[in-house]
Amino acid sequence: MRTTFILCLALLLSVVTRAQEVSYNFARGSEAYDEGNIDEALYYLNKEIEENPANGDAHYVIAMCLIRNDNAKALTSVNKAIKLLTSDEDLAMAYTLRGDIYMFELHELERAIDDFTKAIAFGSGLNEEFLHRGFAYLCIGQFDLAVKDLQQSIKLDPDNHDAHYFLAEAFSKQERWAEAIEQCDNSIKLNSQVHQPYITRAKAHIALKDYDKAIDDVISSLVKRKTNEAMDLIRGPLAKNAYAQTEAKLKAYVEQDNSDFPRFLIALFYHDNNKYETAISYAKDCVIDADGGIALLLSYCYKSLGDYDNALYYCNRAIDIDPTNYTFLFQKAELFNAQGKYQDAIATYDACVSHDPVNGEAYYLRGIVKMTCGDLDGAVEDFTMAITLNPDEARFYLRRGQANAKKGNSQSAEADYKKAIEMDATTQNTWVSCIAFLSLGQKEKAMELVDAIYAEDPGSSNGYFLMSRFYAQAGEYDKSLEFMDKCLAKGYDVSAYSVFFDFNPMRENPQFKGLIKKYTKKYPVGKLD
Amino acid sequence: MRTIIITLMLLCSTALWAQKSEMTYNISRAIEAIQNNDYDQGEKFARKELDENPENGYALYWLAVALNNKMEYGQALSNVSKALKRLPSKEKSYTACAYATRAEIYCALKDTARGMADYAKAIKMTPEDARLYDGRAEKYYNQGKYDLADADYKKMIEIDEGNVTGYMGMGRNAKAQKRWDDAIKIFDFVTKLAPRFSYAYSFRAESYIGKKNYSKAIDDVITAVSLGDNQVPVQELADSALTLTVVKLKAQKNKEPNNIIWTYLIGDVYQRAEKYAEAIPFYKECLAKERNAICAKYVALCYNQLGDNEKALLYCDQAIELDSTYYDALTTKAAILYDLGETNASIAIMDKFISHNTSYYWAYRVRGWYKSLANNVDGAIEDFSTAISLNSEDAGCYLRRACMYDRKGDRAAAESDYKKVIELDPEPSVGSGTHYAYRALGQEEKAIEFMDKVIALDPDRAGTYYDAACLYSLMGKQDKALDFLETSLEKGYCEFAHIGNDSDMAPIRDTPRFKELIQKYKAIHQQKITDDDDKSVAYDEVTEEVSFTKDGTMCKVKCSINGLPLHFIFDTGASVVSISSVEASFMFKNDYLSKSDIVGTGQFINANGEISEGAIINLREVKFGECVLENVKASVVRNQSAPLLLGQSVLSKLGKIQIDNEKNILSITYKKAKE
Repeated sequence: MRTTFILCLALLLSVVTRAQEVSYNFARGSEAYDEGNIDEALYYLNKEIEENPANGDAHYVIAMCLIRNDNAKALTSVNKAIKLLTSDEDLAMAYTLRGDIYMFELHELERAIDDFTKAIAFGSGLNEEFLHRGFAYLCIGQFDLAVKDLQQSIKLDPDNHDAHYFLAEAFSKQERWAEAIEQCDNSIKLNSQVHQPYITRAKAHIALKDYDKAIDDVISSLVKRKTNEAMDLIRGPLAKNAYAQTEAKLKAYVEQDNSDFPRFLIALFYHDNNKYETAISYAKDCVIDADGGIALLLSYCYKSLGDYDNALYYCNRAIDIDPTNYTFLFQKAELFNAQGKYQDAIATYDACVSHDPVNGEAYYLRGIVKMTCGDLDGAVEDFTMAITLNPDEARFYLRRGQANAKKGNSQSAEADYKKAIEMDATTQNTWVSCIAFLSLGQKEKAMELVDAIYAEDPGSSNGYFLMSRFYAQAGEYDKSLEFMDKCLAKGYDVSAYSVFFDFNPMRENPQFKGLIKKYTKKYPVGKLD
Repeated sequence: MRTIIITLMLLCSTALWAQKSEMTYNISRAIEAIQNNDYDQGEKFARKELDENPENGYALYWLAVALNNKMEYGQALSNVSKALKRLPSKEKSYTACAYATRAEIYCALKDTARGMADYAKAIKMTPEDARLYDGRAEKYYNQGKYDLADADYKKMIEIDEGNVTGYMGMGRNAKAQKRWDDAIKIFDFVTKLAPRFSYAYSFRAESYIGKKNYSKAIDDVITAVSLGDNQVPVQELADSALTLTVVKLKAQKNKEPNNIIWTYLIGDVYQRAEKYAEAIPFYKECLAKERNAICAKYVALCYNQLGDNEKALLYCDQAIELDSTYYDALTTKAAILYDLGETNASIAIMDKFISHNTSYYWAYRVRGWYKSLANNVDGAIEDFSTAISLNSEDAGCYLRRACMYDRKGDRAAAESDYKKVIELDPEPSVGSGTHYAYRALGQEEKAIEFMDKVIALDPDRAGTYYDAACLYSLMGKQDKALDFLETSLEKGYCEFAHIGNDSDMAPIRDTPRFKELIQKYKAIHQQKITDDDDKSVAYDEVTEEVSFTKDGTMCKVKCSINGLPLHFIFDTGASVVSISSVEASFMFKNDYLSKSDIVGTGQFINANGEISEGAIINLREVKFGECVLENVKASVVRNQSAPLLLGQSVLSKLGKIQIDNEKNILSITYKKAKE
């Protein structure tokens, strides 16, 4: 009896033990996953769960295989893993994985935080849990909590450069600039090849008005990766607040680095600051123009100088390099417009529209040229299409209003002006509202607005341009000319006066023509090579 | 002790025992057939099992499933109830499924109370089976009980957070209640969870339409269509945002010039917006790229709507020639022939259509109408009666039959039918005919009131004014009738053959003004008809023989794809075309495929130029022998043993396929356009 009982017990125990050994399919599947053979991994792991549906580890690895390619199934698998796994460590990893799916794939940050919190509760002491939750808090704007978690993550793993970087970002959001800089320093020390900490540190330096260091950091970032974010810092706050220093450092960058990018960057910088000839000299030193960007920049610069022949020459160069880039076609159309070649401009916009029928801007610009030519029906049609495609764009309503007014449809014009003002107010009141109020006969309101806009940047070329435009629309041509002179003296883009519709009434004015002539600079049609 | 051991061993083997006894050969075959949607076979094998084992609960269950899918509810109910008594009590999963199946049957029989009770039982047995909640939630949704449906969908999500159906159900509930923002939020999540699940986009499109955000709606429709969904809200977009829809579709067409669906959709949108002249060029473009009877038929329909019936007939005949089994083209032809004044020919065509579609009520209704116009009163009554027996809810059938009874002098029958019209169609809607019923019952004021409301619903619709002309003509109000006739003609009504035939017009037909109007507008219409250079396309029937080699049970045929020599496996069972990822990647890396050949959304090409599983690619040309298939859509699969798998459904687009296994020859008989 006793012997029989023990034998039966042994039999049962051996059955249980056998189930706990790692199966061939699971081992094979895990190996394939580790080697990056996802299809093979899924094949064996699915076989495993057919035979052993309660294998939580298999479900976990399947979830890892499926992330990104099939988030629904990944989530299903990790849920099964969570239900089946028993050890704290395994459960912590499973919750972390699910949190990652929510955070990185599904952008459900609250759910992600929930899962990371559950993972942390298992007390496995892994820094990933705090790191990921800290990052999630950072994304949802809970910076205090982000700081706390990221600091804990760093405590657990001081050599994780991401943790230092995210912590720097959290400090930046809280305007704790010195601390942000310190964490960026740490991140960079651990891994100097990543560009983001340099940008974050640059922003902190800008906030502390330490522009020299900011410029150095931006350039370091650009050396690692050419990002718009970094370029915007150069072209924006650094150019505005530290023009001379930025210029000097960019020149030094050009000296140190023989490649095209520094030349292109400094050319852009000069173009933005109305120093077109200097921009041209640097752009011309670039050797390779892979995407037509340098040719386009040269075209912009020459256009701003009023040298349309050169502008067209380089625009055509850009188009030759990349015929599919509609920005180049837009530039060409603008050049035709500036020269009064309206039919050519319209034909070029036709090509833009044909290639990209959902481009509202193309219809808008074509509409303006049509309005200039007197094709008011065509203009209204184009503005209407532009509005259909971009119903929130205030300019489109303004111009349609003007076209309607010229047609004698005063009711429609009034409705459009009012809509323009309404749309403009939702973003930021601009010249659109000024002209719309003027067109509605509310000159005082228009003046009030234009003065307020001018006051934001008084004495600047942009400010003068706004004023000259406003007075042109108001019919006060003398005042307009006065501001025009000041504007162009500051190096403003002379072609704007040839292109912008607002100055149409003044085109035959001798003083207007004189100023255009005075500030136009023409050169022999040049070559890039 | 010995007893204990035997009991223990019995207990350990019970789980296996149940599975073993379930998986008899017959039951396995039944399950396989049902999974392949072959319910006849499923029924056959289940019954075979029951012949041998009449008490087999599993066989009874699967038989019930097969019968339910065949809509033989009585037998299905009987068998599932027996199954519930005979399934072992330990088989919770099976029992729960049996309750769920019975619930479905009860609901189909409109016994909702019992159905819901059975769902509750099923769920109680296996509360972690998400499918059961899905079934019940669907019923709640149909009953408008959205809160209860939501509770079930939430439970599904609680059981499985990756359950797309649960989220979709909640989104659909929100949409039904016009909680557009909630719906959009849910569908946003589904598109992240399952980016290739097309319904998420089409449902979200409907929600955006609800919010009048047509731009986003169109973007979602485009994505849904790219993913293969054809249940998209095109009509709503055609009604509310035609210009924007067309512009965006054109942009998509530019991006994927080889994907004919965009050209087709532009035609479709224009047609739905009743812009037939604009639709035609797009349908013709589709037809030129792909010999498609459907496109030819739509060209015909558009020409018919424009009143250019000569051209309409040309294209309709082309549709029939391209696919003699496309019976829908016959109804179009009947309509065109009627408009050409050939009523008897229309009837003959409808006879042919009905011989292939004996249960389609609409066909009887249409034929009845033609017969009424040909003065075959008894024939018309017979057809309308058949239509009513097939669909007793169509007011139009009763209206037309009533008119025939009146013509026959059977006033009582006529009145009964007129009253039925009012009962079925009490509210004014576009196309309504209830005003005629009111008039026929002597309630002229009500008739006029109803007619006015119908006009107000769509003041631009020419057909409505024509109806008003008929109404006033029948009421003896000549001037009003002629005014309405003039308005309808001004708005584009151009069915002159019908005006000539319509007995409603009899009271005013001989008036000078009537004749003047017809003369004037016929002339205007003649000038409007498009003057494009349409030539009749004729075809020769050609049989191409292509040799193949045998690879096991598969036929292997040499071909070239976009100029690259390959071979394909001819799979008679396949319904889609598939290409291996190895082949696809090779073709891409060696310029036999370009980026524009990758159809649909998503990034399917990695940095190494490898095309991943799941991509849909457009094979511009698949050539074998003299046969050419153009623009074949193929799914990329991992299977490396089959470079290209072509199913019968694709090859049959070419023509009739015959396989000679003795000579190893594939014969394809198809229509080739004459040069």
